[in-house]
Amino acid sequence: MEEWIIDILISLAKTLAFFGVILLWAAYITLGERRFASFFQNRLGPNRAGIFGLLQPLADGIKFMMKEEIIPKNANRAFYLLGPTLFITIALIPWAAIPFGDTVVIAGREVKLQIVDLNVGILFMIAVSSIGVYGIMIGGWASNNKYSLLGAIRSSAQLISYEITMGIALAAVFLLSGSLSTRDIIIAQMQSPWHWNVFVQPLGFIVFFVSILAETNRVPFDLAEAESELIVGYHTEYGAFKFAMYMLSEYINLITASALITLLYFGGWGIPFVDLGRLGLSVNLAGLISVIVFLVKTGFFVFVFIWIRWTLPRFRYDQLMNLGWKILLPLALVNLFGTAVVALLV
Amino acid sequence: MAINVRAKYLNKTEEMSFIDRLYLPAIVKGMFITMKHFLFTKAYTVEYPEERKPIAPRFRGRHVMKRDEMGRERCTACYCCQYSCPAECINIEAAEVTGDIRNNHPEDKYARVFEIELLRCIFCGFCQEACPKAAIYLEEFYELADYDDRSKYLLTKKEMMETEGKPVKYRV
Amino acid sequence: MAKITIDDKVIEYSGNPNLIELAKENGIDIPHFCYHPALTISGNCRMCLVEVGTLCKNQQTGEYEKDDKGNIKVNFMPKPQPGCYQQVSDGMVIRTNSERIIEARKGVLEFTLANHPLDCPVCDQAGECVLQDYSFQYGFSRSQFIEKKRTYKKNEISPVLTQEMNRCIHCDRCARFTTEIAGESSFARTWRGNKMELSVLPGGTITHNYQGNMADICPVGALTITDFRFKSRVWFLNYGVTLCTSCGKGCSVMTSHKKGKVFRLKPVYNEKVNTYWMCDHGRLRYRFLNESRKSGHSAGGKKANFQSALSLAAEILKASKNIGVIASAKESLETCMVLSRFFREVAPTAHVDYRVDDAQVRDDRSLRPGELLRAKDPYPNSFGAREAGLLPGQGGATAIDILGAPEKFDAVVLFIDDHIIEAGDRLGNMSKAKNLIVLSPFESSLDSTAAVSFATRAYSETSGTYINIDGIRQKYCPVLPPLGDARDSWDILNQLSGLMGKSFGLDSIGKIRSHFKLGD
Repeated sequence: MEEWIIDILISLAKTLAFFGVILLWAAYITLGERRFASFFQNRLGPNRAGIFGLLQPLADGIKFMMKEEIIPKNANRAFYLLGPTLFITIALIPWAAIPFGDTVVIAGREVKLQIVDLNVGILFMIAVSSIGVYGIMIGGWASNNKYSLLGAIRSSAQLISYEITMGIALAAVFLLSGSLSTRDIIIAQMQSPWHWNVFVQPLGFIVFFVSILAETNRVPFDLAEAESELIVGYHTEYGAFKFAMYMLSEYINLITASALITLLYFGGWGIPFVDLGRLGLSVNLAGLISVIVFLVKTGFFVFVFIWIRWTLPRFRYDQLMNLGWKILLPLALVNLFGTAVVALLV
Repeated sequence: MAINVRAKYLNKTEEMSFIDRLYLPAIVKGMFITMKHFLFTKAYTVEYPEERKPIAPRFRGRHVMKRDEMGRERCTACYCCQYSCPAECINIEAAEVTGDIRNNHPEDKYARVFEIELLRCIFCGFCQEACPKAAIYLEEFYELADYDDRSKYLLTKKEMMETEGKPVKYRV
Repeated sequence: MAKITIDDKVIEYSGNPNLIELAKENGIDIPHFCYHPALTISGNCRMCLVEVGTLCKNQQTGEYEKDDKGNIKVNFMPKPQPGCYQQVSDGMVIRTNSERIIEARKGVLEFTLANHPLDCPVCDQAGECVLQDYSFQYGFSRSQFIEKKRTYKKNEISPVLTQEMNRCIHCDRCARFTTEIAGESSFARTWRGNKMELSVLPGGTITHNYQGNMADICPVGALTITDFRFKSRVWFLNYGVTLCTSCGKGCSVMTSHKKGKVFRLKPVYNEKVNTYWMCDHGRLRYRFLNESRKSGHSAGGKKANFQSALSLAAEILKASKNIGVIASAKESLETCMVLSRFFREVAPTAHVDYRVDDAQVRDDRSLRPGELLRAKDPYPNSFGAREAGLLPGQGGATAIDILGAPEKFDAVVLFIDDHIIEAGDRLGNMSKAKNLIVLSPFESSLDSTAAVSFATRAYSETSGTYINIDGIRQKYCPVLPPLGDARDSWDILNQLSGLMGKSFGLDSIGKIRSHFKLGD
């Protein structure tokens, strides 16, 4: 067989596997969020569909499919439909550059557990995710509903503001690792847990974490969906599968954010004090373990996001902007400057 | 964990310390409180169809019409319930007791039609209170929901009437 | 003027009044069961006990004795006296609510209730039961009697009345009514003491026409009207005072109605006409107000709105020269006046008559033989119709002529009432009539053949005046809302006059009364 055909097949298989896993995971986070929310509130949550409610996402999915598709009379039809489609597409694209694990060997060739290892991986992800605001803006505007429009405006303002702090916080990480490739950043943190960026860059981590909370529209920065004022914000007019697309994309963004935190600040698939390469395991087994470690770390951060959601109250809009521009931005700049000076000196 | 008031009065003029203004310790503290609920507190949920809360002795559910010790209908169509009903949901038609049904009724008059519109009823229990014959009671049954058949909500005498007579407790 | 003191209230009186009546006139209520102003005094219920005292006079000096405070001393009789029997005399002092009297009433009520069953949920009298009211006002809430209550076998006494002897308190009003007012001896007290029973004589039945009154005066539910039995509780009913239209007497009656349906009639006290009573014939004819009532107009057998029916009728009347008019003496004096003027001025015809009954033809104003109230004339307003001039002119046909051969006329205007429907065959020929115009509150077979059929209001839904057989004018007011689109007869005639070019402009009952000088 021709080499390139095998390359393409492997790429295709990786892509399919990645998207399958991500979509399934996002679906189960909906269940997880509801169950965990109940536990935080001393309730039981949905536990009727299957054992522990494990079939609940399936039931929800079927419900979303079966529901009547309604398009508001005065909505802009084309844009109304474009909104959720664009949003979910953009939510999935960053996964092209996220590494799930180390390498495995398939059919005698080394395969990286990553769809593509771009040398500007992080930059690519940030670039793509910043387009995500279009999905929100288009959906909110096309609905022709004041709540939707207000939600969309708030959301885009918030995304743009916090993208700056996030970018500057990340720049410090790039300075340390000397690369924009996700894989290189992880490998740079592999030596020991003390090399994890969270310990090297504590201030940067806090700034980044807060920014990414805002980027994913999660509590306490979910002004775009403030139920008490805006119903659910930009997707107020969306129902059935279109709503499911918006909701799934938000959860995919949540996973993306968790994965980013893992790989940028928590050493990716590295296990503290254990070097997989020296244990004498086969390459494939080591690769599998690395995937599991990555997923566990990411899952933990997803849980942290849910945990925060049920702990903190929502910010007011002016507080949000104050925090972003007057506190986080200066902090990020100080962090970048300090890192640059230290990097230059050391 | 019982919900209790932990609010403190803050003197607004007092300057907040730097740590306070960071908010991070407070956030961490809050996170631990929610985690405590997550891990250690049992859910208060009553899983309804399997588990049920106990019903109070004076609970007012769906109406039941009583029979006396000899198995005769207690109701004599005196209309006291209809008169006292604030929702005007009771419809009675009285008729004279003649012939075969004499064994079923202690008096000369009986309710040929006795209907309660459950959709109007507010379950206030005035009918039970007004009844001089201890014939109508609001008892335990409360699962009255149905999703399409509204005719179910016109409670007829046949549906309300209990099948066997037993002594009733008069409420004085 | 003689003076009497009742409960510290000094009352002047003249003549020889009854104490209960005198007290009632002055706002003091002495409770009673057996006393009835129209019946002889029996004094058996003992509910009206009062304390009677006289002023203390020194027999030697002839002056009133006074106590320490200077008030005249009163000597009270050692025992309470029944108020209904008490002869009123000058200077008498009566106490109706002293502690002793209240105690005595409680005792009397307890004895009365000893054998009275707790039938209120079943009893039709509940709600207008004197015993209920008095027990509530004056009695105990519990009985000390633990013995078994007295029971009677149930008797059929008449088709009109249902007797429930267990509830009887032996006040004897019904038996006194039968002998004194109805003049029959069919119903009387039998047995004695505790076993006393009010019953028909063995094998007999009550036959007189005033049995309903026995139920009315029964203070409890021992006698109830079979027709009203279990129909409705009285507290759901609304009441309205109007006149009975079943004969020329025109008794004052009270309708008991609910949701637009009349359930029964009861007499209302009217000194000049019927005093306290009414006959069973009139009492049971309320059904006409409920059954087969017409609520919409029709033209040519099809439903039509009022305006189109009206213009069709106007065209018919304009085109016809020879019009026969059968008026009805159930219509009010006001309607008769408008009707009379209409067929004199707007559509002149000589063939106008109201006399469909023999008694009307004879102008008979007497009562039926052996009757207390019921007149021979079955119409309430024959005298009024006569006064309005609803009689055939020169060469005019009488109502009986028109009923016999309606086809001779170009158009026939026919008022249908409950009496003519009840008579049945009277309207048999009317389907032959050309251009029949019907005005009626009732549905009839003629609605399908009539050119125009108007729905008019029944007397219970309108106001007007009747002149009875004694020439007494009585006004009545609506007690029920009109049915559907039904109009007053005078309203229809007035609008017809407008359409036919000679408008009367009499669009309210007040205008009619002042126009024809009928008083207000």
